[in-house]
Amino acid sequence: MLALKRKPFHGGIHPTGHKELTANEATINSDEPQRVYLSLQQRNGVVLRSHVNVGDTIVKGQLIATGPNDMCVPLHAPINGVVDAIGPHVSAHPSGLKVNTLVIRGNGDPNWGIPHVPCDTSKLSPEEIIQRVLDAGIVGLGGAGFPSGMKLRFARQKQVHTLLLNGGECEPYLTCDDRLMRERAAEVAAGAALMVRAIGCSQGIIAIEDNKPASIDAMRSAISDRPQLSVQVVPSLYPMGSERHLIKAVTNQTVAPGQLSTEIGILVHNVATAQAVYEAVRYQRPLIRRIMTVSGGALEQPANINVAMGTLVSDVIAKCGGLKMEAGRLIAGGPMMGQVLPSPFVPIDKSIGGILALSKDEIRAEQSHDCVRCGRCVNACPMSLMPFQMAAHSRISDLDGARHFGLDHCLLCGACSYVCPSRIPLVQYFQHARSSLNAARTMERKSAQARQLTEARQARLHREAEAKKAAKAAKAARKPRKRTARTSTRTQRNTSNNTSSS
Amino acid sequence: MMTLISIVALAAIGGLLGGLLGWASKALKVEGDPRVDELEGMLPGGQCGQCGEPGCRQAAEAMVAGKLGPDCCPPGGRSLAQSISSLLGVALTEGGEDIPVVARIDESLCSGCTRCFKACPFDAIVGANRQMHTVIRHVCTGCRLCEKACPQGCLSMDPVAPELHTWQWPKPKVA
Repeated sequence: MLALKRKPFHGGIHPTGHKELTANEATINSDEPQRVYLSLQQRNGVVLRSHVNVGDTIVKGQLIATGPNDMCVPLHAPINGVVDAIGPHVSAHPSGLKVNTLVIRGNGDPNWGIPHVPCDTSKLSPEEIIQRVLDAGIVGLGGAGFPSGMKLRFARQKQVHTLLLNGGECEPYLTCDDRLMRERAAEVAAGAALMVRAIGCSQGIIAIEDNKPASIDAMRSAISDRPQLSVQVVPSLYPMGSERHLIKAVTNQTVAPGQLSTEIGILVHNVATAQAVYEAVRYQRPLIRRIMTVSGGALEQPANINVAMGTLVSDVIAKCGGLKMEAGRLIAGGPMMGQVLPSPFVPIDKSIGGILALSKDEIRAEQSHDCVRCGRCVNACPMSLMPFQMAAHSRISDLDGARHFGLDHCLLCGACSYVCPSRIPLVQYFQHARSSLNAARTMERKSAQARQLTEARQARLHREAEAKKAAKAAKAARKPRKRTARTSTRTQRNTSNNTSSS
Repeated sequence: MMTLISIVALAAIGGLLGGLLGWASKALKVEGDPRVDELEGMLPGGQCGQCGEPGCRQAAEAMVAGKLGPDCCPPGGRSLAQSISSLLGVALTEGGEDIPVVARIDESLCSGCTRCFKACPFDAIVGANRQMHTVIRHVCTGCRLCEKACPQGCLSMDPVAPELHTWQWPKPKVA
């Protein structure tokens, strides 16, 4: 009963952690990769414009591509080297589609091409801090990949009062945030303090799940001289890392469905983002490396590894000793919300927090059965939805029905699929239904545009015909008038002749 | 006597109601089905004729009359078919969807005759007299009218390749 009372939000599950594989090993700093592959198209489809050409020599930290606006972050060179090619290469997107990719051949030199001297951050204005975050190309390192600078700017405009740092890391296997908080607690705290100043809010809370006692101790000692920061321990329950659920657990406030957390004055950032913000503001270093967990039963040496953006997954796995058996599945991210990688030759991007090479034993059999209406998914759903109903409607492509049961509010956290005794691929149904809905919306927009265009065209043709008719009429009207004008001048001339002759 | 009264009464009622109906059919006459107007507003309005009707108005009439299925409009695609089927209450047959296409001009063959440009109801082709023409891909609805108009045969219809933001998750296959 006590345990029930302490549950911080409805639903949630306790998946097997598997964190012991990597939690107690120090982070490995990977060498400069021989080649990096940087996608010139973001996941939302926005195309970046490259500022370099094939054959150009580039230095580590150099700006190499920018997007059309602040909503897409700039791209920086993660290594020193030469641009080898710009062409299609498979991306980390689950579709496995090829996108335009910039390939850099490295020369192995680990030094920054541009010197980055530390600056006195206390002299920077909030807007300067936000600008440095934007210029460094930082996106949310928790996985969503939203530009962090824009998030800070919105929060400043909304006058947010609390910054919440997400040290939940509720996904099984992943320990990169845990290791980061243990090894670089001071940098995380400094980054948090900078973000608090940038937003202009009163306090920053670092929320850490209770299964990471070493991180809690490290962060507590790191913030001891910063009165605006505090550490709050939250119970470990999946999906604690979700923004809404972390807010509920820490402040007991609920973010209404369809609303953003800034509406109730709270901004959530990942702890790894805070560390990147510190580097960006203090040293003006762009985000070109991140710490990620490489784990799974098929891997020889699971580890946390600090890896350059654009390194191929196959190179990262090789760095961790390679595979000791055939991997049943390669996953980018955690096992609950991660995406199956279409190929091992996919480059790492900023939002990938882990690579899992799962052995055959760690994957559940595909065989699924009919729904037995046990209701476990309803109990597990952290958004209080009815996953089995949503799946039933999605299965027959009744998207409106699925939306009626809350498809738009689904986090795609996978708790329902995890508990389902019939092994129904619930999340996959929701992914499919969501993307079909998006496609339908795009199609609707396109057909509305087509209708507008035909109407505009008909109006134009009508106008042109009218103008032609008017011109014809004017011409017809002008002809006799011209004649009369001519006759009048003639008579005038005649009269003048007459007067002169007379 | 009783029989006579009932016959007279029933005849009177019948006559009265018949007269009322006759009057109502004239006085309360509806000009066409209002659903036709609604449907016409939903259709793209390109008058492309791919449904087999001369124009969108006639297609809307045919759909209301049940002669055409709700998925008869290729430029409208699946989403239009779905909204039409929910408006008319007609079931949509699964799977019979056309692959979306867009027009492509082989620019090396284009003579700049402007016929495709004039044929396009959506202004999705740009070009001028004796100048090379090209298709604005995100505007093109794939209605194939330009394909018929081109005397050079340089217009072809390409299937739309999925991109990162248009790619769709496949439906899970359940055994």
